[in-house]
Amino acid sequence: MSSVRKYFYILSLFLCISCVNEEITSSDTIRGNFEALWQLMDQRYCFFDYKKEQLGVDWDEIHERYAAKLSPDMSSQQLFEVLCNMIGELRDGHVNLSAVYDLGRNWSYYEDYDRNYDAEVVEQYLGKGNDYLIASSLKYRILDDNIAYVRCESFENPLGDGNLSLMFDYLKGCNGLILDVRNNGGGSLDTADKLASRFTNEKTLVGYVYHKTGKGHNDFSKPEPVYVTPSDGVRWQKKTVVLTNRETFSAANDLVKSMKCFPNVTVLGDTTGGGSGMPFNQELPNGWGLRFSAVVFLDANRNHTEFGIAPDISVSINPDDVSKGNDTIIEAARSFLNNSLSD
Amino acid sequence: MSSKTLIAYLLLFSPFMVKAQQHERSHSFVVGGGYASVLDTYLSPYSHTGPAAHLQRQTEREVSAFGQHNLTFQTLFDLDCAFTENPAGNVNEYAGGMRYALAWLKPLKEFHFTNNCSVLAFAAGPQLSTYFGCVYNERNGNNPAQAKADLMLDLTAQAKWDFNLLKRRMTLAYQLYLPCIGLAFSENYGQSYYETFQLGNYDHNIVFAHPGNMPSMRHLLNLDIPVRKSSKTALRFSYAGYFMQSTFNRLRYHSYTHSFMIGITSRFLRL
Repeated sequence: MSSVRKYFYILSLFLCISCVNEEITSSDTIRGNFEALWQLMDQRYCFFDYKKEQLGVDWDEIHERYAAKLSPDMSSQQLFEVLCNMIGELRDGHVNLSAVYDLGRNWSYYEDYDRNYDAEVVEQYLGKGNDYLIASSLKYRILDDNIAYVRCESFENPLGDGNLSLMFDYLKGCNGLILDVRNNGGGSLDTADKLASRFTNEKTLVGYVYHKTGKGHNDFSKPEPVYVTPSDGVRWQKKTVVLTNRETFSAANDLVKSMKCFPNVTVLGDTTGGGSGMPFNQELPNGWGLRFSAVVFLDANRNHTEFGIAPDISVSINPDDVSKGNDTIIEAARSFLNNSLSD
Repeated sequence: MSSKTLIAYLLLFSPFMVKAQQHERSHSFVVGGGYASVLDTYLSPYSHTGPAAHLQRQTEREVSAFGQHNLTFQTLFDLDCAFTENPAGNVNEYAGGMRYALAWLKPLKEFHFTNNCSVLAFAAGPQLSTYFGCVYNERNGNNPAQAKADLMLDLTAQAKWDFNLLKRRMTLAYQLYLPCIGLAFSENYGQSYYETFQLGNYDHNIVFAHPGNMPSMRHLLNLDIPVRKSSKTALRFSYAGYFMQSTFNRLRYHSYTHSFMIGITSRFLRL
């Protein structure tokens, strides 16, 4: 075979190459957007089997039920409502549909429960002016009974090593520490990991993680162990109580999951809100954004924490205490720490 | 042979000896823009489209390598970026990267047309190329970007036509690049970068790439027009049509770009 002919045949082979194109409908119609949402969730959502077991969710049945609600002349807002109700069946705070005029959500993970948090009362514990210190998203002070109180509202902002080392250095003379992650809706897992690394002296197994590897509801990777490695900076060595409520969600839920693995830590308050799936984003043909759980985090015993983590000591806020300016949960934590000290 | 005779021979034949070792080299630099269509299902199920910018530097010279004489050795540096948006026009996605490639072209066939003194030459050979880049979606949270990296052995083929027009020796060259085998990086279907880089969990992130899962091709068309008659510097007008595709880890990706570029190319002899 001549060289020219040989190369011609090889080139011809490559010219048979097929295009790699979209595989989910891109039709910006009522039906097209509905089907795109259903397919995206069907192929990428990571909790179908767990939700079927816990809530009886049948995604195929949901398709039939909600497809019947569509009509060709429905408005954009009506379609949005139908789609939000459809994904709301999953009762997942990480599943959202976003349009310019609304954020579709199911926040029943905390809306259906007692709040167990009063911002004004917590502010009284922190004090005013320079009574408390601020290190990034952490507010902290030493309470009258020499217990450190650290309020962690969010993991949206990064925590520096300096923030943490200086804070723990300031609190080192305290008899115990209260870490309040109530109403912490999450943020960066890195930040939560960084905070957790200040509470252990040993590399500790805190859970497992796995992700979708294909379109099937059970196409998952092998669960990989997740460890918290002790920080090289100042580490807290005394008793710690972590305060939780139903709005302790996502990365904050992950922090609680890790903290429960450490020997000096007690979780006190209400069950957390869960949200153990790391959310990914995709979109519909009309540009609406879709957020959904894509990566599964299990606890150290390979249990799901999607619907929350139960506290070691269950305490709810008493409205009478609130009216007197007391936070029942903080007071229970102080008593626990003071009693531990006397023991 | 006396030393005087030897010196006389050297002086007499040195021009021919030098000529025998002369190599033509060319350097070209072009810049321009065009249009891109980018699909990466890790980020979005839909193609994003928009303008693209492209910069390219290419060198070419004759070498002897792999036991072959008169090979053409090419280096190619590509820098491209695209500013695209989704079909609804409410989310931007940015794609960009750089490719560096080394190619060795073996002459295959040459046709001389005496009536108009034009020469049509065909060449082909292997190319080693590497690419680093990423696609970034401004709306996504935990899956905001997909890194692109590969190290590939390509097949490249060239058709070059030297012809006279307007009292100038012009060159029209078409070159095709076909990625054949190599290694590429890809996240897994639903894998997060937190798992890959924070936890260090590997899940088929280095993929063996071949035409079955990376059916791609790049086309390059150059027209060189000397700025003056018999000038070694020419204006270069280029079209680059890059059709990159992959289906690694069940993630679908394409980047189709059409770029029109202008620049200069210089040819010179090197001893």
